[in-house]
Amino acid sequence: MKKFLALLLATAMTLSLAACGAPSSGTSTVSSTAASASSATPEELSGTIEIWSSGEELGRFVEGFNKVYPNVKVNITVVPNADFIAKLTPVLSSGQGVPDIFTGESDYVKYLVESGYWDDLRADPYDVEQYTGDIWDYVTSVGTDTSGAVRALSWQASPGSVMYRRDMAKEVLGTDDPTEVGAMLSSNDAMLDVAAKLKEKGIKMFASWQDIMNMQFSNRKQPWVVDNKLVIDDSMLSFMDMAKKIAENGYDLNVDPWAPEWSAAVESTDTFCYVLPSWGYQFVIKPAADTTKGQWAMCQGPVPYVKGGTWLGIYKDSPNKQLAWAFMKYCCCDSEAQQAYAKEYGEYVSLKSADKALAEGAGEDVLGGQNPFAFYNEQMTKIPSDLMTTYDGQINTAFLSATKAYASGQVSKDEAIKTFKEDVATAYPDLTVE
Amino acid sequence: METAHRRKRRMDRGVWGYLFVLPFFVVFLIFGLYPILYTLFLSFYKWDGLAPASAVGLQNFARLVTDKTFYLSVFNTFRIWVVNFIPQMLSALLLSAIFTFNKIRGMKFFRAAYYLPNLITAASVGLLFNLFFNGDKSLVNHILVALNIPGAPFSFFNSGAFTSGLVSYIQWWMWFGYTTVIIMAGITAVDTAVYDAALVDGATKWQTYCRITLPLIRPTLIYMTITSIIGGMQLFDVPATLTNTAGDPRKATLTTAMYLYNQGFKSHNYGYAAVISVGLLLIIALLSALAFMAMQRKGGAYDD
Repeated sequence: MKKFLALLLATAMTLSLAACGAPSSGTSTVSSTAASASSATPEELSGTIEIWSSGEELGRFVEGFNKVYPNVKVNITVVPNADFIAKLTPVLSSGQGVPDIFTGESDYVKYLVESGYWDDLRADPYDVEQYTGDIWDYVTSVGTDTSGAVRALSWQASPGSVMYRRDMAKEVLGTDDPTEVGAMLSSNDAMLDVAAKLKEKGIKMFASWQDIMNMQFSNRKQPWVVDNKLVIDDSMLSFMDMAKKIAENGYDLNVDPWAPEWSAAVESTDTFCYVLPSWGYQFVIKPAADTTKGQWAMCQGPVPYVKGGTWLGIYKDSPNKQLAWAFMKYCCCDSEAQQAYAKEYGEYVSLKSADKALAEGAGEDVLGGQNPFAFYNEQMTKIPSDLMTTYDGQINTAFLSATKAYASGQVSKDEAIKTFKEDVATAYPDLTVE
Repeated sequence: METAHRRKRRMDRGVWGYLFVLPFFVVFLIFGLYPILYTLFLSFYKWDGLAPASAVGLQNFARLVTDKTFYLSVFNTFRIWVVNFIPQMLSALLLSAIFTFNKIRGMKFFRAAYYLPNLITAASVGLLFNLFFNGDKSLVNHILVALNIPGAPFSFFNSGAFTSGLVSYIQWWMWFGYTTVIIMAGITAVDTAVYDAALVDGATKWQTYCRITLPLIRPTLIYMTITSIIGGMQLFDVPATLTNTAGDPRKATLTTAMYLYNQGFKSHNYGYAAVISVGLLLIIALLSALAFMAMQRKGGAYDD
């Protein structure tokens, strides 16, 4: 009897260890009507879709989505951007537990688009081309791979702006009107003049000089890589000089973007502006603005720019493509849905019709009545075309690191550029770097 | 002369033994040995994680041997470890001497308090110290500005020496308690009769400690050194969370494991990342062997 009990216990132990070693199954149960006719009424569609998102914005669409599709359950897992690719790659290559929809931030969206793991949306049952006319061009072009397949779309467009404090502008510059302030920031040198004026009153112009990289990055004449060769555009070199001047003269808070002090400077008494695209408003300024409500405004900097954004696409082997497309269509192609979202959160969306409608509406409290959609609509007519490559993530990191070393006075400009080139060669040995 | 029955019982008992150690070996084979062998296998390929892998023979190894950044990262890691280990050993030896040979009130409390930092997740510690020192409005800068220290606020993370030293300090802070506890355990294993003999011969406390205790706990010290080398050379979590995997400033805190992580997960060179880990394995093995040989005395009167 004792022997039998011992044998039973040993077997149970072994089995339990084997069980906890088994990989967890991630994909949802399927009860969609994908096999049947391609158009089913919203109430008929039912099932669960899994989404991996690197930010929280997608979750904001779920409530509205469920009003139209009450039987589709949406599970969103927020995976932090820093780990996103690291977590996604093993899952994609093994095919186990892949979400039905996953996002891609601008730093690596091109990499995902080219990898082919997002389904081609031009094909049945998506037929995305009926919608792309209303989407801002660059959003679609970033989501398109070199063969012309449209693989990803976004709910947002991210034209750039300079978001400044009205009270400080009135005090130091004499005006808080966006057009007039924008005129004072018409070139790099003009910006430095304004920074000097602000410094006399003890105000730091920028939250971080690294914010300006967004602007310069978008205004290159060439992308980072042309024909497999590294290209350093003049716009980036002048960014290095700007960074050095700002750091030397103490025109910024000397913090990194997204550090707690950087985010907290929205409410501070000594920070003048953030150089951020449209998502900066609803992500940084609006949530933090409390006593400074009504004291913010947006204007154009030296050059219009576009930076950042998050795209999403449908996993090519997903068993729930119909449901996934319903969600994607809701977020990225449905003008009413986007208008409702933007009214509540103040984010600039990807559909031209939605943005036009929103520009007619009331302005934002935080911006003292200025309507951000009207402002950004105008910016969108001026932005340069996107020059994103699959190498951008690591190259941007390396460039920022080199600029930091130069701006803080640790190395000379030539040394910084040399280090940058070596870093790029180490990160991507297949590129030609001279 | 054994009867058949007794032979069978002996065999049965043996079978039970194998059965009970089987779970460990199964888990080790699946989660330990297989990944190690797969990494070695991967180092002969070029793979970005999504596209199919392509065999490239020894190309990754050739690249590793001439890779300046790899050698820099090994040197950084070694420097961080040495600056952490020497104070760690000295403070642990000092503390264990004080605790073992004197009656300190609340000794158990102190020992537990010193051990506490070891239990905190290294990642949160990295973030914590980042908040202390990063930027003009960080905690330490706030204090220095409030105290009107000239030159404040400082840009702490612009100094490679400071950042590297900070990582070493964090490692010391997290591990000196553990080292103290282990050394104290080793000291209590020494036979007290030896101390009585030394006392009779007129040895001072200091001489007792240096000439008798230390040589007798040599096996413990060897164990501490080698495990510290192995752990220290693989350091990743603290500098990664402190500098957000950039290894700034100017790669002063780029450890080998961080370089490996960046190559694998950021640059999508899984084959090269595998080769870096093979290189790191060889270097750690070499260092451990050197440390072991240096600490062994020939003529094994002290060997176990």
